[in-house]
Amino acid sequence: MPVDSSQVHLAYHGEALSRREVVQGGAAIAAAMGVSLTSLAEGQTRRAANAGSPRPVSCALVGIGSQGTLILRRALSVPGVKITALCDTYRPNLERAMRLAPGAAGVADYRSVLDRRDVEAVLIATSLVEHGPIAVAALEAGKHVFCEKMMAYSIEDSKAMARAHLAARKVLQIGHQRRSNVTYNHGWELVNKARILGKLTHVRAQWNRNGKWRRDPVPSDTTDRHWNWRMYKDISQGLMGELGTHQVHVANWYLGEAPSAVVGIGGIDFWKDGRTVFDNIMLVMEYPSGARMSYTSLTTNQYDGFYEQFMGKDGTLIVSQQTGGQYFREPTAQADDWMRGPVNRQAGARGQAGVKLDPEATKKLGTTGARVGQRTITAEALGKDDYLLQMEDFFASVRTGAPTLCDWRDGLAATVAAVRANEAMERQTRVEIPASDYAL
Amino acid sequence: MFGMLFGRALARWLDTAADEPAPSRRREPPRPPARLEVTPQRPVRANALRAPQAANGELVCPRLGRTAMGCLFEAYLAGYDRTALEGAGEQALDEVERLDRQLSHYRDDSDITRLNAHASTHWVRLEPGIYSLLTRCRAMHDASNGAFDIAVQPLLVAWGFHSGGYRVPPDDEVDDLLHRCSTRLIAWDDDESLVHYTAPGMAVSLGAIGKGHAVDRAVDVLRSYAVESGVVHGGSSTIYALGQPPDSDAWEFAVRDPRDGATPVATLRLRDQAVSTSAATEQRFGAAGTIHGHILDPRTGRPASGVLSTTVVSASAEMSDALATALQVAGADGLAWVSELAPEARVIMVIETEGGVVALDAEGGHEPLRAALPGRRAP
Repeated sequence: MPVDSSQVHLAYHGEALSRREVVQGGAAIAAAMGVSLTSLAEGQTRRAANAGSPRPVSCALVGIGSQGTLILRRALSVPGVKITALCDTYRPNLERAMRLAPGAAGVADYRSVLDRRDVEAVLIATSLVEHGPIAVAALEAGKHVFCEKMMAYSIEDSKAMARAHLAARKVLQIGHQRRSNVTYNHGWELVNKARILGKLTHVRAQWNRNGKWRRDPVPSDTTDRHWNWRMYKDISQGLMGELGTHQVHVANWYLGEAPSAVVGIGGIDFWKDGRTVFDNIMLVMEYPSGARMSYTSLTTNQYDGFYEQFMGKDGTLIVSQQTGGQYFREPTAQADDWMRGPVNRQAGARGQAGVKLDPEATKKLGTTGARVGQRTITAEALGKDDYLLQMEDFFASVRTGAPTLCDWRDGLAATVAAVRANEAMERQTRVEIPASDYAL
Repeated sequence: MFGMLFGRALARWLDTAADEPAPSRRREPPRPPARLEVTPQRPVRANALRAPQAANGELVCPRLGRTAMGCLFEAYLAGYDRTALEGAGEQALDEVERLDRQLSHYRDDSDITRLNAHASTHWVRLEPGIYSLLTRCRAMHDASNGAFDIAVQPLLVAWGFHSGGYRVPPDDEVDDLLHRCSTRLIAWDDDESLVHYTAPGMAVSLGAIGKGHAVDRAVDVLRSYAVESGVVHGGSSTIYALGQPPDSDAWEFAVRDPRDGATPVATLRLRDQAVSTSAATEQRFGAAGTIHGHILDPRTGRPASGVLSTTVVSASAEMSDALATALQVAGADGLAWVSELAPEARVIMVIETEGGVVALDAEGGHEPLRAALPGRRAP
């Protein structure tokens, strides 16, 4: 009786619902999603029947560096998933992965993966410039694709992936794993359903570290450009691409829109080690609604780590993979009961009184009449990090055909932000983002 | 430092390492720079990380640390390229941190937490690496006749060793848990890496083997970068001696008498070997006139007694870590199955007998050497 991977989500216009709610929630939601309730219910029944032994999915992983190894481990933790092929051009990494997934074939050329009939889905965790070509080829070969973030090096590559996905009618999910994170989903509900922040005007996000962001030592049988590709701007979008896209993705998801202009400054000011990407960046992005997002990523000071902070007229919500969620009410705002309750009182950096978000705790409050948190179901997610939830979501989509949580729109919008932000910093000017960037 | 074990070469290193900042808890002020001497007749072996001969070839000994699994992991490395050594050391510690996230039962999103949360009601799929670690725990359980048992977690919770809120649980509570918590009650699916608990309330904890496993994996990373000389330890109770020190042919450690933490009981010379020590004095509490150690005997559900400390030298840190805990529970009787499970292991036990405190030194299934230790008995 293998496990039921039941943390299945459906996405529509940024809205995350558990499948159970969709089925139980009635025709209105299903109609809004453009699918018939019957087919969803059928899917649910089918999945319940499969819970005993989920349909096996054979997949391949292309690109097995540190992130590739991480998603390999998570994929192997999803019931019914079988890794049949592994691909990397760097032999030691390939051999290491083959020990993790015994029985998988090891190859150096991704095209031979796509020829295999025992590969139904392809996970891509290569260096950034290879995302586009490999994903397009995989989709054209009829494979479902999970592609690590950011979606692709260029806007054009991202659009090519989206077009191939739509033409092939195969799943394409982008690896902004916060989309599957329970705390982030809970935060989204609080902001967009309970509207605890009131009018949302500003977002402040950062990802600060203290380190050179370079992998040393470089093995003698490879090159720095291959090993540390993130350091070279002709093949990497730098801090904005590797870290910033995660956070712009969250801002876009919460705000329900994407930036329309960006200004920024960056430089190579501390780690003058031959890198061509900036080692510190500071940006402001404008959204059509008038909201603004400021973004900082440093490599010389790690104070306060990484988080996204949403600021509205009525309060502040901080969400982070590091610290979970924290809510701070503005003194002028009306307080709901749950905000006053003794649930996980939390002090802010300067002693402000706040509430630590706990999807479980607030869910319990929900049963006693509070109006938040009731939609986030966490029991099934217990003990699962967002990388694993993301993999479960992907394979659920592969099995059922359900839309993915983080789809091409999300991936493309994050790509646009990174490309245009780097352009603004390079040219030292304000860059207006044309609507055509977001359209196929 | 280093609990019951004390690394002589390391101590010297700490005193002489030229360019390391002095640890804050160190009592002496930092000494003027001085380098480790390389013994001429024992040249350091060729090292892939070594600077070209044309460079000045200066020996560097970086020391890196990271907190994980509730203790301090450290890597002391020796070689000729500081950037390469530090990079390899950081990646080795990254691996430890990754394993902590995967194995810790203190985190709410670790694989072990997921397993404990769902395995009583579902078959839980585990990443093959963890599954294989659990099957090795199963083998250890079977070979040790239950003296080693990862399913002891609910008992640890009942005794408060998990939270620090110590208590002596009533007998019926212990007996009830004993019936429900055992590796025997775990069902396995080797083909799909699935695990299922057949009794409700079961939970596993890898506290008796996790540090050793992490040390081994860290050493794997160091080796993959051709680091050939160094010491990696987790919480100073499990140590791996990689290669040899630059100035000697083996890393030396002294096993201390657990009663005073100073008098050496034995000296170990290690090279590509691991050593772990387990002692009831590390974490304990007193209640109703009895001192309770933190190592529970999974067979009785109560703290093990009689053995003051157990030190095991073995080829892998995972094995030495697990054996030290299992033998601390099983006592000298366990030496019989150790010789089958890990024939290469050397075991040094300090045991309280009616005739006084005795040190046993056993290796390769031979009759252990036995020496009476002077001085008072343990409190």
